[in-house]
Amino acid sequence: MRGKILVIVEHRAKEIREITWEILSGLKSLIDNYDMELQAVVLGHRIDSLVGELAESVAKLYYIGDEELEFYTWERYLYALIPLIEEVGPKLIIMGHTSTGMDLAPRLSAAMDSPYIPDCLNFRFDGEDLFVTRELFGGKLNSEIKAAKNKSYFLTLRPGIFTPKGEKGQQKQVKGIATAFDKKGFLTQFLGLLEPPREGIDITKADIIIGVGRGVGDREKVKVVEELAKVTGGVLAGTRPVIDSGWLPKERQVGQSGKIVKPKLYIACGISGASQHTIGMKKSEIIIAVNNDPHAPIFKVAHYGIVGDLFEILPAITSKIRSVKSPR
Amino acid sequence: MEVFVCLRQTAVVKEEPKIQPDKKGVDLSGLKRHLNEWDAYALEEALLLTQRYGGDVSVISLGPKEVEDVLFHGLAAGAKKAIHIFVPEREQIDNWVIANILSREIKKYPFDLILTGAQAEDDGCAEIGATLAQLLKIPHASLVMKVIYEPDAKSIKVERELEEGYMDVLRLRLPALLTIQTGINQPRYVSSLRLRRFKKAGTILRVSFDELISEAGDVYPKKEVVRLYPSRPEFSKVEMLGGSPEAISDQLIELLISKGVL
Repeated sequence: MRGKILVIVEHRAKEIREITWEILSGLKSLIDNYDMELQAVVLGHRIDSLVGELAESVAKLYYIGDEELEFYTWERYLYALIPLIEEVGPKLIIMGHTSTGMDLAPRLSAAMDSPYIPDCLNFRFDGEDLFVTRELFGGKLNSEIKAAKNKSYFLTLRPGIFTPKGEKGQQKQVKGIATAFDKKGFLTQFLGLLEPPREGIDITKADIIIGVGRGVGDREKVKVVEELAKVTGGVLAGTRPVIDSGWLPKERQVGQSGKIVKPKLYIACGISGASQHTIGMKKSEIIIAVNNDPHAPIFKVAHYGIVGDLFEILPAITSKIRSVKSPR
Repeated sequence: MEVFVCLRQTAVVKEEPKIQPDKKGVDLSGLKRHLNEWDAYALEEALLLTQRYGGDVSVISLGPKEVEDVLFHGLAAGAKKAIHIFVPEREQIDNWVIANILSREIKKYPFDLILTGAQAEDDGCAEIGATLAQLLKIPHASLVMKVIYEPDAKSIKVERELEEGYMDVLRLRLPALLTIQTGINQPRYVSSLRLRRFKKAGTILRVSFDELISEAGDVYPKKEVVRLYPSRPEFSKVEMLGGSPEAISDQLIELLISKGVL
C-alpha cells in the first residue's frame, strides 16, 4: 500500500495529549511494511511550541492557526479540515478514540462520505482492502472488519494500546494553512473549559487502590471491599457505573473520564474490565483481579487472577492480612 | 420542546457470547435483551426536559420485532409516540445505514432536539449520534452531562465530558442533537405492571425499512464484519490463584509480602 496517513493532533491546555504520541509511535510500526508517509495536522491558536515539537515526529506537518481554533469544537475543526483533506488526499485519516475523536470522526467521515471505523486496535491492508480489529461486548469478542473500498478511510485508535517511544527526527517541513471562517454562521459556540474539581481525596497519590466494580452488587456490599481497603491501608476507587450509581463519590472514579492511577497494588473487585476503565489502571505495578467470570476482560490486564465469589474470597483475604499484621 | 430519542436494544452478555456458524454475527437466542444503558439516560433526560419546559418525547428504534420491547418501555416511561423501523435480525447493515434511515424518518416530523446514548453496549462505536447530526445538518455535542434549555434564544447550553474530569461548556442553536453520557440523571423505574399495560394498549407506529432505504437512494454499508472470534484473556500472561478462599489468601499474602507491598 502506498499513500499518506494524516493524524489529527489533539491538545489541551497548551500540551499535546498523550494519545497523539501513542498514535504517532504506534503507526510507525503498523505501516512498517507499507510505503506510506506519516503526516499530521494541528489546529490551534498561538501554539508555536507545540508545532515545533510535532514537526520532529512526522514527515510533514500542517498547521492551521486561527483564534477561532483555540479550543476544539466539531464545527470549526470540520470546516478547517475538509479543504485540507481534499487537497492532501490521505488514504487514512486517524484520531484517538477520545472525547474529541468520538465527537469529530463520525461527523467528518460522514461529511466526506468515507468509511469510518471507531475504536480500532490495529489495521492492515491486503492489496487495496483495509481490515481492522476491534472489540465487541466490552472486550468479550474481537471483530475483524473490512471497510468498503474508498479513496480514504477514517479510523479512531484505542487509547492506551501503543507506547509513545519519544523518537524524534530532524524538524520537518511545516506548512501553514490559512482559514476563512464564516463566524456568524456557526451553530456551536464554545463558552468555556471547566477544570476538574479539586475537592476530596486524591487517589492518584495512593500506593494501594482497591477497585470496586458493578460485580460487587450493591452499595451495601461495598463495605466488604472497604474492609479490605482498611487492612491494606489502601483507598477505595470505582468504575464509572459504580460512580454513576452513587456507591462512591466522583473523585474516586478510575478510567478514561476519571483518574489515571499507577499505584504499587491495584485489586480489582468485580470489575469486568471495559477498556474505559482499564486505561486508567493498567499501568499499576501489581494488578490482582477477583471476578466470578473466567472470561472477564479484566484478566487481560491482571498479573494475578482469582475466579470466584467476591464475598467468600475478600473476607478470607481481609482476615488473613489482619492476622499477619497483628499476630497474637 | 419536541424531543426524539433514538433507542437501541442490546443483548445482556454475562459470559462469552455464542458466535454464529458463519462467524459474522452473534447468536442472540436465549440471551436477555434490554434497553442500551446509555439510551436509558437519554430517555430520562428527554422526559425531564419536556416535564420542565413542555412538549412531547418520541422514541424511535430500528431492528427485529423484539425491539418493540424498548419502545413500549419508552411509552411506559412517558414518551407520547413510538416508531419502529423493522429490520430482520440477520440483515447486515452498519451504523452508517442506520443513521441514514433514522434521518429519513425523523425528518418527517418537527423536532427541537434529538437525543441518543453516547455509545452502545454491544458494538461500543459511539458513531450514530454525530453521523445523524451531519446527515440532518444540525449541530451536535457528544458525551453530554448537563443540558440547560434557553427558550428565548432558541438554544441550549450543554456541558460535555472530556478526559480526566475536564468539561467543555457549549451553546448550540436548536434544533440540535446530543449524545448522552451515563450518570447525567437517574433513569426512572418502570414497574413491570405498568410495562405490561402499555404492551397491551400502547400504540407503535410501524414504518417500512425498504421504503426508507429506497427514499434514501444510494445508501450502502461502509463496513462489514468478516469474522468474529472470542477475545479470551491470555492465561499465559496472568497467573491464576486457585483453591479454597483460605488457600487463595495464603498464596496472595505470601506474594504481596515477597513483593514488598504488605
